[in-house]
Amino acid sequence: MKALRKYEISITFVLSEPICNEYLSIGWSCNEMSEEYIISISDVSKTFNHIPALRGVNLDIQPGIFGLIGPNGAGKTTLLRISLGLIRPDTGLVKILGLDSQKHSVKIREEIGVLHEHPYYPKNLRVSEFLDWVKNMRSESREIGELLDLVDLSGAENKKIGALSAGMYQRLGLAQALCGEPKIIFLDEPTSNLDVTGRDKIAKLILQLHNEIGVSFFISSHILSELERVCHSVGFLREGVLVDSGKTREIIEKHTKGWYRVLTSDPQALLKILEGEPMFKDCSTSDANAITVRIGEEKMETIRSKVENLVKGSGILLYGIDRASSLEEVYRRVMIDEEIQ
Amino acid sequence: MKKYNEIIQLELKHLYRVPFLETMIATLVFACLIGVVQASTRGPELNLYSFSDYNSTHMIGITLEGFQEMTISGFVLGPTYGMVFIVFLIPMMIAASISRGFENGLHKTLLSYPFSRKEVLLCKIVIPVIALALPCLATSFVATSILTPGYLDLITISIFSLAFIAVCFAIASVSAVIALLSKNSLITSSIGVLIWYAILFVYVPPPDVPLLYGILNPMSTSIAFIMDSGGAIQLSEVLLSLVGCLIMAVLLILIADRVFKHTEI
Repeated sequence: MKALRKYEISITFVLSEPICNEYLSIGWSCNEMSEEYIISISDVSKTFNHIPALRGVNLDIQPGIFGLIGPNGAGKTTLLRISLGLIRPDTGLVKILGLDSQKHSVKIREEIGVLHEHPYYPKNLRVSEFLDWVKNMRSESREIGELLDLVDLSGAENKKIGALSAGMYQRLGLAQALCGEPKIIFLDEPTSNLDVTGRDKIAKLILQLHNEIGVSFFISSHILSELERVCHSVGFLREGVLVDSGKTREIIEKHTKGWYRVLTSDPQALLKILEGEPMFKDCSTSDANAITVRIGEEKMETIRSKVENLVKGSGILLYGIDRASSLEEVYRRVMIDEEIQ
Repeated sequence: MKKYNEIIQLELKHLYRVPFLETMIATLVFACLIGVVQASTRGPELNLYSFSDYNSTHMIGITLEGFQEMTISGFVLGPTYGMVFIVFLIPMMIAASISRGFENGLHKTLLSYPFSRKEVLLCKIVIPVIALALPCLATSFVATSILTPGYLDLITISIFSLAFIAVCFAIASVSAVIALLSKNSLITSSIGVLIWYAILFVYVPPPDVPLLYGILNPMSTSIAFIMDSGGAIQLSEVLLSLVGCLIMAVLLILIADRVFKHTEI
């Protein structure tokens, strides 16, 4: 009974997550998407000093929020820089809004906003001075006050850029990317310098901007929880190869079908017990308080009662069982497991 | 033009902010003033020692020609004194602007906006030339006009000013090529300075001035032409060196543009 009560708590917690509302809004805007590709990457390869950074990447991205996932050095930033015309690919073609990223990079940059990883903005300028400068380059743009409101930087307009905190600096990056009504915003590791609260704010802001003004995002990141939260579609890049891509929920379903996480007080002991059972395949300890198992097409209730029966009398506490359906699990399957194989 | 204006504005607000640019201009203005005042108050012998081999006949000739020669020398001597500083200030500014842009990521930021690489590069080359060359020429012109009014010759002013600007452009374009190839501010400033000190301060007396030297240093040719009433240097030679220097600067800017186009940022 004690264990069962914990299941209930766990389920209640998941349902009460405020993120649920955001998922609903994603679902709504997914339905609104057109079938046109805003970014089209065809057979793009790039080598740096004989080391391949990208190997024949093909990717078509529809309007919405796209997340490019991969470990450090996977080629995410290289792909982004090629897309922006900052570097040339050895082979292949990237089209942004139907335009060749190498030949029409200036025209493309009129239509997009960019936030680089570790961006550099003139530190001696004031926030308002800098945004005013960015605004002057764009034919149409929101007022500076509105931009600052959007990124939660109101009141910082007279601060010198050099005096901003890491979070404020990042939000300034987002504000400058939003200048000029961009159709797509490219974000390279947008939350890498931020704490949990800062990440949360940026994630919410991205969703809000997409829902309110319809701007599409191309986000390169290795922070999976944040991408899962905001992205309509994702792509996995490993050692320059696009391993998989598609709608976020479809990708998660595809790679985690039949996988479950069992939250427990003693993962090692539970692992030993479950490894002996033919029903539980590919058991592994996924973290300090859980193990991951592949079970198949069983109902959750059946699995739960089976695990409870197995641990009865062993002193192992069960805190919950849930589908291992997260991008983190997909990452494990797609990136780490395949690498080992 | 709007885009050039935006880039220049950012450079002036951000990179060459107070007191960097102001200090440099003040130093140059001071150097120019010293040149003009010396030439205007001490007499023509200073010019002879500075710009040509000492020659007593020549000196007498100039002395007899009188005040006009001295006035022209004042205008010439001001920017020449300024050039001593310009030779290290332009490579330093290009290093701070182009090489440092690679180091701190400013190029990446600039090229996130709708600027072409050509616009960015041209602004970065033109700013130091305009910011340093024009105050020098203006100071010398004004000071010479005040100290020795009524003795400024249009042809001389034009030839020397063009030669001075051409050399400034050549210094800037060479520095830009070095900056783009090295992407290192130390290398850009040090090599840029050394090259131009070597070129500008090696004196080759007329009339046997090699064409290449004339192209690299049209200031020397034009000064020799202005000072030498004996006709050792012809106007055609001056024009050749002037046009040659400008063509060299333009070619180097085109090379820098090609290099920048293929530079990964």
